[in-house]
Amino acid sequence: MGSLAFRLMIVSLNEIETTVLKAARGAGMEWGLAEEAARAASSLARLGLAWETPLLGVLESAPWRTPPVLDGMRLRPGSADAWLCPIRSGAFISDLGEDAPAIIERVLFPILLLPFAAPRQGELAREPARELAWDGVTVRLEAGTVAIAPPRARSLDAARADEVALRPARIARKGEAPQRGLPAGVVVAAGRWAELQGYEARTYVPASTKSRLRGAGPASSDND
Amino acid sequence: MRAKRVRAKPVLAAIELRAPGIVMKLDRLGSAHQTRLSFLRTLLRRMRAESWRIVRERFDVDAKGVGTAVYAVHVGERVYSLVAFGHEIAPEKRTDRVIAEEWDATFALHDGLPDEDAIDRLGANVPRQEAGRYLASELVLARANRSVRLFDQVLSALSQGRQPDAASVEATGYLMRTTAVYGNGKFGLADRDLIKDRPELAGPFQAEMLTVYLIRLFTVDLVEHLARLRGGPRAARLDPALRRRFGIGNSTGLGMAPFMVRHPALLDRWITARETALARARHREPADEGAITSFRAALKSSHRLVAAWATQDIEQERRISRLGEDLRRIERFATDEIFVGRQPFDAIYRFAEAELSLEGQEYAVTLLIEANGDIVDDLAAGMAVDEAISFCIDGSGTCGELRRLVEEHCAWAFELDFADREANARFWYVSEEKLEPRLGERFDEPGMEREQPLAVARDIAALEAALAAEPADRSVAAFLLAQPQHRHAVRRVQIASRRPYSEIRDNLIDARLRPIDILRCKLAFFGATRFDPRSDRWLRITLFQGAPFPDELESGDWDRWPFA
Repeated sequence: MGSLAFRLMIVSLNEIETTVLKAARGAGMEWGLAEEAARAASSLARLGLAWETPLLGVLESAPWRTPPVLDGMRLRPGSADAWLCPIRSGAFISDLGEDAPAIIERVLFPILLLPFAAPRQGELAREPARELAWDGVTVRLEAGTVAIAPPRARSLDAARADEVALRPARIARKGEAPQRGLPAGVVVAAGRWAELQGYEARTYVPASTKSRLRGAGPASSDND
Repeated sequence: MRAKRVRAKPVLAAIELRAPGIVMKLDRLGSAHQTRLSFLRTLLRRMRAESWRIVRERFDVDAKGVGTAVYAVHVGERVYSLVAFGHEIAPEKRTDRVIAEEWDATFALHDGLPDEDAIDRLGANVPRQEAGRYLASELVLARANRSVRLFDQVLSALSQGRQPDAASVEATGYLMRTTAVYGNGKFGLADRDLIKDRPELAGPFQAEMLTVYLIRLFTVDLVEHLARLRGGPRAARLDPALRRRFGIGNSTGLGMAPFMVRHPALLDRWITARETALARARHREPADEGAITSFRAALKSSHRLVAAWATQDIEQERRISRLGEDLRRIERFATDEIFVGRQPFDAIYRFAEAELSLEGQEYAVTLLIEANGDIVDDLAAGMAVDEAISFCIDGSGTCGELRRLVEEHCAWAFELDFADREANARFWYVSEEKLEPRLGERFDEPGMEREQPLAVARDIAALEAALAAEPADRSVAAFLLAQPQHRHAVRRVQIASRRPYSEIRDNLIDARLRPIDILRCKLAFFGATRFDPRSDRWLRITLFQGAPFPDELESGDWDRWPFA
């Protein structure tokens, strides 16, 4: 993996979404959850936030197999030694919108909760700004933007958090929220991309002569 | 002189859009024809209205067709460039399958005018196609192969100073055919979100259609250029009327099929636009004189066009023959009396629906839309959609409510019997080899555990069964928290409840599935003609055949070109 690991490449947001979709499926997520993982990854990439490490971390530990339990306004793992999957938990948060639980306990890679907690817009509603907070970092989420306080908080990229709070945004923003332009390509470490493609490859079916002839192409020679 | 008939103002029959249960059946979707709202027609209308200028910036191609060409399209302040690379390829290497590694020509649509560095970079990547990497300065990647027999025939004739045989040209319809046209972020190309706010690219597939239009220009320039190199001063150029008979072929397999299933909101928009256009045409009263004239002219041309529609496929041949009969029946029905009657276009549609084959009915739809451009062309603007808006699941309702949604909007899904082996016979997958989408036989081949999520009907049926086991007042969010495997189906059902034309209402894993029906539906929206099945999962078509070239866009009656 040597030199490959340090080479950088530029990928599009669409590539991130389609690759993560298949990688998540290849790692064992159901397609519906894999769709959520794909959207979450490309949303984080669009915001310029680190997405590969948390996403690969989730794929490696497969926490989505742990069913979350809703306990009043707290979401937590079913057993004391387990950790919640941010994708499976995030999907629940997104499904509930404003009625989402206030506390998410013992969750891996909390940064992946961001896209799910972001106010939804469009056909369903336009929702007010919200905040996610854990271990000294607060992320304010408004339609299409995030504001992180403090800006270089290390716990933003934490591999786990004991408690993540989700609440309406407390402080009114002064002035316009800065809109981040859409990136013209996202820089990714080639080694990490290759890891994703490794998971993706688990969704491919090895070719056989039978499948090659019958599965896709024309009945006879296609040249004239 | 006859006294003018005085007609009392009638109460107009309200014309509804055709029901999804009728429209979204695969056999009808697979009988679709191009319409005024097809993407390449929208492109050409804009090109003419905005006077786009196309300049051949470079054409360094040798006698074997090897070299580089650049065509610049000036759109207001912007420039888009087709960068084309010609290659020499051994005949046994030439294949239209995704597993090909060499092609006669490869292309990229570059955002702006490419400098030498850009051309070098593209030259190192574009010929490798999927194996190369691209930047957001490239919008589209494509490749094409020669139709060898016709290409050589045309080259030979032109180099000897003759025009090629018109019947041969008509029989094939193109010098080269594209075998893939990629956009939207593939292999690093620009994400569609980056360009969708540009008016000229806001509509679906406009960048791709522009690329194919320019490729068409390249193919004609190439054969004329090679003829001049071979024949010297006596070489001929193509006569303009004959030149227009060259479109660009396209060879499409299963790769395109998943798109129609993966983009339900977009499919709904396309179908809604077309059905709305049909409804407006049918509702029109009194029928506009211009519309009547257009209808008759298009119908008249259609006899000849359909007779020239060649295919090797026996089933399609039979359908074309029947379509020819259907056109004659429309002609006999659409008399002067019909046109002075109430809502004549509705009368024609109802006649078609009652009396004609599916090809005939859908062709009638095309003719009715064609004739009424003045009241339907605006619908082209509504065919794009922001899919992010329809992605989120609404978990606030109850399982009982969701179940009612399923019953109301997706009843077609659980009317199928998935216990029946025939209903489960197929599975969609992606092959390890060149990542080619394929359709496998579930009980006959390995790989079904790696199935792609295209069995929408089956998944919705499974959802319905799961909901039946839930307390009706349980929230959807709680249900999905416990059973995330149903998220995919819940999303589809919620989209379907808001977008009536979002789902193909057939079983996509059935033994009798004809994948080409899915392909044809999408290709008809592109503007394809001359559908030529090569198997039940491989389709040849032509794009832009008959279309004006850039120097012909200003000529008078040009918008009728598909029926010229």
